[in-house]
Amino acid sequence: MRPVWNKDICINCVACVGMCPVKAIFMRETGLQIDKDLCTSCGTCIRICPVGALEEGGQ
Amino acid sequence: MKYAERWDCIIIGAGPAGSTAAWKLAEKGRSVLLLEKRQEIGVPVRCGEGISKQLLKMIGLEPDSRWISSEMDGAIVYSPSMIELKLGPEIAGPEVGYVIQRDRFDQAIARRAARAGARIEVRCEAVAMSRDGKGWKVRIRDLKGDRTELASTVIAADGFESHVAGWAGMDTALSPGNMDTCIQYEMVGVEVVDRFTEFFLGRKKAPGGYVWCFPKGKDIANVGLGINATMVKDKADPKKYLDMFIENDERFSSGTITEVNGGGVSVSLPLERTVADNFLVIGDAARMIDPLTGGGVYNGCYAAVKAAETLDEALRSGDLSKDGLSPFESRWRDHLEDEMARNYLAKERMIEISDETLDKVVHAISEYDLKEVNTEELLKAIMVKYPEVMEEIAL
Repeated sequence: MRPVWNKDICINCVACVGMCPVKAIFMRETGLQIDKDLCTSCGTCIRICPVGALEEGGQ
Repeated sequence: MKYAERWDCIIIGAGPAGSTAAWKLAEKGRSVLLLEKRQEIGVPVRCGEGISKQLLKMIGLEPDSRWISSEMDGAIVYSPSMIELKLGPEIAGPEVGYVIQRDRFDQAIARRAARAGARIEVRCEAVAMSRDGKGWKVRIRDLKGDRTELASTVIAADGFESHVAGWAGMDTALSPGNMDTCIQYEMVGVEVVDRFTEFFLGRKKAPGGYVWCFPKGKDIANVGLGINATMVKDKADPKKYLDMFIENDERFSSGTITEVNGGGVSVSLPLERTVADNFLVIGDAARMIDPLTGGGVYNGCYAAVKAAETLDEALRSGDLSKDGLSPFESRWRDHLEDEMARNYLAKERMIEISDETLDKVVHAISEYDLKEVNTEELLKAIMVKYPEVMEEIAL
């Protein structure tokens, strides 16, 4: 399951960007982007987000 | 500052390390382009905001009330059962410093860089780079669109997110045990200990990490925590732990949260190599954060100064290859790596040891006539009081 980003909860700390083991997450001016081709659905970002702004369930 | 056809150096990331490198290189007359992805340097703050006075001396920045919130004389460490270890000015050593406003501090260093002649562009992101005969072609994106800039060398100073080093073929991936996830509130209406930073230890408060309180004013403080990524069990654990800590301590529970920030911190050994052909990596991107304290500004800026020194010499000699830039490795490692290695081992123990043992460690040190804070002294203190604990924490 890929992460889904909840922008209402996100505090823009980018912990997920740095912790993604395959560097599939980018913080752009438009918001958080998850590269579907790179993402391995490992769940690291979902677990380490300090406020719970990433959830399981992405396509 | 006008454009260069080919920059001596493009620096990616205008945090304290990137801006210090830009400042020191520009001061030597080098053409420097400093890129910052965000529209405002230093924003958002992702930091506890404590710095040592030693840092300012090292980079040559005068203390300035425009970015200093308060001055610190020492630190207080609390064990899981709240045994207190007070490290006053006579022994606190590098803990003596300031709590600052990191956004304004970062901006102050960037201004130094600009005044020294560096060109700074904000809201300007490096999106890719590739080798050309004389260095790098860097693809840059700003509001006007994409363009390419040429550089003899590139310094990656893009922080914990660290995408750029990967473009130069370096692996910056971290295992979960080598990362902490952090959250911090700036609070008003809290009871601080004047001129002291505070650190609260214990698995129930911050598993594998610690809670901090850094006073920014008489009733204002940064209250935050870091948790080792392997110790996170449920979604949003860091926030839950911090809320619980605040609720359970009446010094903080009646306070008001005026700002929330967070971030990731590496608690690892530094990258095995920080040099490639026409390329250097410094600061959080090079995993230079102290793995025990989570502090990164001093180490990053120290490496920045050494990077500028090395690049200037290499530009003069004309050898910008990996070998030509290799003096950078020993220059920063000689000063930082031993302590990082010791603190890495200490952090590994911190994750494993029980609260009971941690109580004994803090108790032993608090009763010992500590002359200064170093590993040898601390181990001696524990040896005297609880020799049986030595085995458990043996480094």
